[in-house]
Amino acid sequence: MSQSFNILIEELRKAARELLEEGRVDMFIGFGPGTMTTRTTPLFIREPGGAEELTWSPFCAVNLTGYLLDYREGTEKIGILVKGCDSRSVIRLLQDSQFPRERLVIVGIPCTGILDGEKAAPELDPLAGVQEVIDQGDSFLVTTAGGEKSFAKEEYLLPRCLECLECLDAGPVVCDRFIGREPSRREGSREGRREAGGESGQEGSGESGRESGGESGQEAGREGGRMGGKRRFAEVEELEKLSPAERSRYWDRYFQSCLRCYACRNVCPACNCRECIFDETGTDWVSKRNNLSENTAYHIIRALHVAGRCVDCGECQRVCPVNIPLRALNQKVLKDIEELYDAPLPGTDLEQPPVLGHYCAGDPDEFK
Amino acid sequence: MVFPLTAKVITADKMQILLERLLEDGSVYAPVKQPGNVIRYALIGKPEEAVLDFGNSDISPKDIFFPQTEEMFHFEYTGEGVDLEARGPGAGLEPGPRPSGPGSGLEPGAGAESGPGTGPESGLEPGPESEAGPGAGPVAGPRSSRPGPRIVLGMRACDVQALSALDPVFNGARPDPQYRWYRENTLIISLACERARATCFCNAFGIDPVAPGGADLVLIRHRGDYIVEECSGKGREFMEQYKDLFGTADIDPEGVKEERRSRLEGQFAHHLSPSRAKETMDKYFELPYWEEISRKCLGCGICTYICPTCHCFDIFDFAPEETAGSRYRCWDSCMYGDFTKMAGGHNPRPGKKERVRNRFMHKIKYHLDRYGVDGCVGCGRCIIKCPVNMDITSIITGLGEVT
Repeated sequence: MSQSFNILIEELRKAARELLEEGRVDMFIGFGPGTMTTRTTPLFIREPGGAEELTWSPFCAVNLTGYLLDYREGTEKIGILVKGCDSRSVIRLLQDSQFPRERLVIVGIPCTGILDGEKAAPELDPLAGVQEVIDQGDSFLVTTAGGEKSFAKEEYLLPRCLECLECLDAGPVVCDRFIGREPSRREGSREGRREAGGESGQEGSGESGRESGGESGQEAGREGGRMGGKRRFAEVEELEKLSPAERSRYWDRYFQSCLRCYACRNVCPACNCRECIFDETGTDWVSKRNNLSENTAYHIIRALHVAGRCVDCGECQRVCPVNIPLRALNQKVLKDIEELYDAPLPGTDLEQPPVLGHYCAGDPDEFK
Repeated sequence: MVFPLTAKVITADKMQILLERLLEDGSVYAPVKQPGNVIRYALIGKPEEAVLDFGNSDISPKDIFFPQTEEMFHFEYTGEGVDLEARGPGAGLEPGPRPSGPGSGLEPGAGAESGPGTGPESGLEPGPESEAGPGAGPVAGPRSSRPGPRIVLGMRACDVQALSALDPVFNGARPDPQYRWYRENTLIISLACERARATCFCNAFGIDPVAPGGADLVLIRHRGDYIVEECSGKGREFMEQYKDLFGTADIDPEGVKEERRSRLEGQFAHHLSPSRAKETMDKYFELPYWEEISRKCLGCGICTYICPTCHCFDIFDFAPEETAGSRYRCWDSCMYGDFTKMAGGHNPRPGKKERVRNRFMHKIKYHLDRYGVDGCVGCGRCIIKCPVNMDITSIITGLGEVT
């Protein structure tokens, strides 16, 4: 079974056009074609006619929800396109009162994996542009003016997507309008999500949609909204096996090469502080000197600061110009959250309070 | 019978020997593969660490001349006054007009006493020994504590040209002692480009990717070996010092270069006109265009930190003890919110629009106006690494079409 992205693109354009025409949103944030075949770029549309520039493909890697923070002070109504992982960031922002729900229209799109653009780039004419993408289940068939090329998901997807397809479901956990057929949801992870939909409910959610990825996928889900495929936390588990000295060496090599460009922070929708501690002048919690000590402090502070708010969208790792495996730091925290608090992945349930942001009277008090 | 043209060459085997000898005599910076498969210039310890079959490095080599973190001087309050001690390379040099006839910088030990690496700041020194961990190998960094010649091997034409953009900033009427030390004590061996990547646009700035101006030696890979061209007195001296490793071959070097040039010309994806974009910039400061394109900017520093010509820095004191500390110079980025933040809290570039406009105006207009040298060299790194596909080539085209 195969599905062309062009059908989704038409539906997406129609949805954005209608939202703008009907005045339900003042601006729609989606993706436009990038300047290279394997790139797309965030697109901000204000006129209904601009919807024709929207695109959707497995090269739409950016988590757009962080842009909502740029408009949180205004009065504009914003429409935003979300993949499953992005939708968790939206929930997180809503939970922390970072954006008013009434000014937000969430448009969900089924994601069947995002390709690693840098890895795919050498396989395609860089300037030919994408004409069509067909999801063939285990691969994407990408057609450009320069010919077509099939990308096996196993080989070319971003690591975060391989894990997601294995054990999370790739559909948005919150949305007002759904593009295409809603992807099938595995029983294990379906719990607690139905109520998470937005005010206007979900459209097109009647049919069960595509079949899920076979038996291993079915086995993968755990009960009670917990996710757990074979790949999930595999990297963290490997790192946990190292001795502290070995682990320190592992991270030192990466942190040493950190440029402190703060791309990991700036792309992160969990980073919503009005003034980041790394920008505070005068206090110098972390100095501008680039060395192992300061760089390590930066990364550790950041990982702990987003603990409980990181929704594992993996953007920090994707944007890093020196390829530091940053997601492993956040995943260690996520793994601890699951193991220590038996709490689901942050952002999967609007009603579930942030795991590190609330307490119950019956919580164990080990410090008595 | 045609009289054969000859070229100086070094074979691939001899190249390894040359590297070995250079490593004995001094220090060598070359592109290396770092953890995470990142190609970056770093001090190498073994010849085989150098990656010479590369498009270009992911991070520009500017930190060899302008380190991200530089200790300028140490200060200590003695009870009676403040003792200052210059640090870093060029510590003994007075800032001021350059002496005539710059030294060759090739004598072993030149500037070694005040050379880099004498300060305590060694975060970017070759790090923990490479027994374990992924991608064990050399790490990036501008510093070498070794005396002797300091050589950069592999620099592409764009990156060499970038030094011509940095020179008037740091080495103009009042030369910066540290930058000057790095420049005068570093021999640049450039490697001619073999292909133009889709993101390359040095052609827009009149750069010759085969014969970069400003290198001391240029290597042109030819049938597995290298044609060597001397481009400076330093380069000639170098050839003399290692002459046993260089030979001659019946090759017409000009013919090889011409052929390479026309091949690259056919590969360039862009044929841009920065001067047209500049005309727009000369006329208009306020344009709705900036508001539109800046929305997607994340405000991170990737583009500025990997750029070979960006050179903004911040100066601050780091004083862990109450009575002593050091003054540092560290890279800063005009994309950061605090970059233009004033002491009273006012920020003349309060948002993305102002910051994005400033960066591109600086690249295409301000630098050229101020120094007569282009502020962009078309290396394309920012295009490759920008997480949201902010593409300077489309901005150059877009601005050219605005009016």
